[in-house]
Formats: sequence, structure tokens, C-alpha cells
Amino acid sequence: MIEAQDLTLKYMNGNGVFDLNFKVEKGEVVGFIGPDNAGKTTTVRILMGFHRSSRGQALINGMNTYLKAPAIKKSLGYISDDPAFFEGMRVKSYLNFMGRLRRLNSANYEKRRAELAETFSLDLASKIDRMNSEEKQKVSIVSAFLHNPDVYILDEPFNHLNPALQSQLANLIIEEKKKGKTFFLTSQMFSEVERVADRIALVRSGKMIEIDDVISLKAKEIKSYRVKFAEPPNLEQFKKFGFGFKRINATDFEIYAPGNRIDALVKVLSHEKVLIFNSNEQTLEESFQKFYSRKEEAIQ
Amino acid sequence: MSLPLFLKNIKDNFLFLLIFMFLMNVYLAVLIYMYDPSGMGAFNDIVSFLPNRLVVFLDLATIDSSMTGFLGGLFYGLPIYVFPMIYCIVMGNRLVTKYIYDGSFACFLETPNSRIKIITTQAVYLILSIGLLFLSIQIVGGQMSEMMYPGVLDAALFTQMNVGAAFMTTAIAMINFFFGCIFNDSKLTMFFSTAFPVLFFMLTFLSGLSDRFAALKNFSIYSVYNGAAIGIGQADVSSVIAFFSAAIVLSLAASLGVFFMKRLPI
Repeated sequence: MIEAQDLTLKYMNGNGVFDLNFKVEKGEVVGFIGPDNAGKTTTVRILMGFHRSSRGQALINGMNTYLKAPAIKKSLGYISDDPAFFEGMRVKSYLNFMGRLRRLNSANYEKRRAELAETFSLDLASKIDRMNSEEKQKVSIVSAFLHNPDVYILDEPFNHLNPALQSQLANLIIEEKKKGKTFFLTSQMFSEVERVADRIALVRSGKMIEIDDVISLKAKEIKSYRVKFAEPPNLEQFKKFGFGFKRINATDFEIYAPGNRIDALVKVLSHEKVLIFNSNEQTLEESFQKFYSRKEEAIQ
Repeated sequence: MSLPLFLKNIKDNFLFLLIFMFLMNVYLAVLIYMYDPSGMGAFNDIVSFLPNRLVVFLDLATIDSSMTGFLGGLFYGLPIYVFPMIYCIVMGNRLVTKYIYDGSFACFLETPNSRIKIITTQAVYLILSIGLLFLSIQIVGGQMSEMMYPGVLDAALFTQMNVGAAFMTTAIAMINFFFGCIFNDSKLTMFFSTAFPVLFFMLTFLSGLSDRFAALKNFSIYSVYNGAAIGIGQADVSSVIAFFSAAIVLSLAASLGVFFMKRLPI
């Protein structure tokens, strides 16, 4: 359904994407995760036909994304990482205009527009220019899902959304996936996409460093926890189960555990008197530190 | 062509066009109202007191006592370069670059519309809006002169002046449109859209100042059109139309080609 074949595009500053190969099957959700300048948005721009690859090609439903862009867009939903709208429009008139550009009969999508607006608490009468970034993201989401497309290209779709709205969007993606829709979505955060994605690709400096199913990748994720014990813990137990740790003082520790072994960690901790247990906020590089650092040299 | 986009262009830009239609037609109407065949001698006397360079700049050197000659000098002279030039400078940016610069061009391209279709729609709007501007001038000029001085206006010569000016303005607009398709930054589009017509205008102006600079007119497309000469029947408009038609077609083809190939930062 979505395919990248040796996809390469190098910008003047040396950034870009290099020899990307992946396939997103019909009804599958693939997360494309990486830090800044990883090549996520460049990949999306090629998939959307905004940029032409210098080597290789991207295909959607077997069609070249640059040369056959209009045919592909007949059934494609898109969210930009930085949504921009036409000046002076209200939400309703914007969505109506997009419907006309897509040659949709307004009667067909008015019901869906109302449903989506309700789901995301979007005021259709508001002026888009005066909206904050969260509201604008909601407009972008409704516009992308409105025409009921088969393929979705979503660039940082969870950006600017509060946790409740993130959850609403995740639910919507899961619902659409059940209907056989295909998703390619980017993010900087593993935690944002793990709930919805079937597979996740990790990218860095324009190259793919791993693509695997979420369960396998989760085993490679290192979670970090801040733990305060009532008294110094038995560190041998942590070593025995293979958990890393960093001592802050005699009773305060940072403990590192693979994302699929949280239950084992809880069992070890149950033998200690724990006063505080907090999950640390982590960047993608921290979550996959071993992974990224190991492959870093090979990339450069 | 995309009809929804064309209608959006009308909604967004028609007021701007109306302002130009109003200004140019009011100016034309005032000129016709001021026209006095018996007073042309006095007018030429006044002109003779003006410095030669100012007369050349204002394009008053060849004013004839006929109404078409009078309008050729005072309406199809300096004003026909300046008024539409401003419209062309602004529209080249508004119809293309502005959408890329603010990122909203992505909204067009996330729908089943090709770049070529979007750009063609914008170009058609620009050409038709200029056509409408000059159609209004044709109607107002014809009706006003008929009301004030029945039978005095040579309608054929007036039409030739007007059609020639319409083609010249469209050619300038399409050159600016080409800049709008090349650049992603509104400032660059505005700079080149302003620089080129002003440069052409300056070359035309300088070429009239003295024989030493006469060759400069070969580098200005404004030199192809001489409203005053057409107004007194001393120049043929068909070559003007042919030249500007070629410029329009080439600019449009270049705009489409550049825009199809370019990397859009959206």
C-alpha cells in the first residue's frame, strides 16, 4: 500500500533521507520515529509528492507519489507537522472548501464532519486565524479524516494535543485501522505511537536503524524510574535480574528496565520498602540509548 | 482548472481588482470630461513651458488634438504603465508565493488537484481579471466620450489602444507570475516583480531622453507599446498583440514548468 524503495533525497546542507526501504501493508499502522532532523518530515514530503526523490521512489497503491499525486490524493488523509490554513476562514468554511477541492458532495460528509467535530470538541464557527495550536491541530485532524480516505500520512499528529485529545486521536486511528485503513505516522516519542502502531521504524540522520513490531521493539526500549527506598536496597537483586541502576544517594536510585520487563521489576521492588516510584520523562534517544549509540558509528 | 479555487480567488481578490477598476475608470472619466478639442492649443502651450525631460517622463510629447490622441498621451502614456504595474506586482505574490510562504499551499495539494491545475487556475484568474479591468475601461471610456462628445471618439483606435495595453499588462503580470512560481519567499517575489517592470519603465524613459540612450528601448518590453502613436493611427497594434502574446505564452509555460519541478517547502 505504501512503499519506499531505496528512497533518497539529499538537501544542500547534507540532511535528507538515504536509502530508505519499507513497506506499509493495507490495514497496517507503521510509526516512523526519530529525533529532530531524522528525516521524518522529508519522508512525508516525498510521500505527499511535495518533494521528488533524487534516487529511488515512493509508491502509494503502486503509484509514484510525485508523478501520480492527484490520483493518490483521491483517498489520502494528511496531517502536516505544522498545519497552515487559508487566511480569514472559519473552520466550517475551510472544511467545506476542502470538500469542494476533493469534489465531495457536501451531503455525504456533513454527518461525519459533525461527528468528528464533536469527538474533538471543535467549534465549527471559530475563525482559524485566532485559534491556538491545539485548536488548529484539531482542524487538521478533522480535515484529514473527513473524506474517509483509505491511506493516511500523519506527520506528528499528536503534537499540540492534550492527553485526552491524544487518546481520542489514538482511538480514532484504531477504529479506522479496524476498517482496513493504512497509516504512516511520524513522531518523536515512542510512547505516542506504541498504542496504535503495529510496527515501528526508528530513524536517525535520514537512515532507518530498525523496523520491528511494537512488542519486539518494546523489549529493546529502556525505561527509567526514579525510586526512593526507606532504607538502602539489596542491589544484588537488581543485578541478578539484569536491571541497570544509578545511585543518587544511599536510598535514592534511578533504575533502568527493558520496556517488556516492568512486571519483573515490580516483583524485585516488592521485596523492598519503596517510598516513591516515578517514571522518568525520556527522549527517544534515552529510551533507545543502547540502540542509537550502538548504530551511531555505523551511520556516520 | 479548479472551479472552487477560481471562486476562492474571486472572493479573496475581487475587491482589490475593483479598487483598480475604480481608480483607472475615474481617472479616464475625468480626462474625457476635461477634453476640449478647441483648447488643445492652450494645452500644448502649457506643455511647451515644461522641461523637456519632464515632458518625456510624462509621455506628453506626442499629444494630438483628437480625443484618441489626447487619451493616448494622458491615459495610455505614463498611467497605463504605473497603475496596472502595481496590480501585477501584488497579484504575482498573492496568487502563488503567499500560499507557499505561509504553508497553506499544502491544503491544495492534499486534495486530488495537481500542481499544474492549481497554477493554471491562478494564471487564468490573473489573465481574466486583467481582461475585466480593460473591458471596464473600454466600456467606461466609450460610454463617457459618447455622452460628453457624441461621435468624436474614434472607437477603432481607442479599442486598439486599449487592447494593446491589456496585452502589455497581461505580459507584465505573467512575468511577475513566473517570479511568483520560482520563489518561495514573498519578499523575493515582490522584489523581482517590482524590479523588472520598473527597470523596463526606466529603460523606456531613458531611451526617450536623448539619442545617446535611444538603443535602451530595445531592452524594454514597454517600448513595444506606444499608446500615443496607436491613438493617432501611426502604429499598428497587431505586432504589439503578437509580441505580448508570445511573452504571455512563454511566461506561462515557464511558470508551469518551474512549478512542476520545484521542491515545495510545505
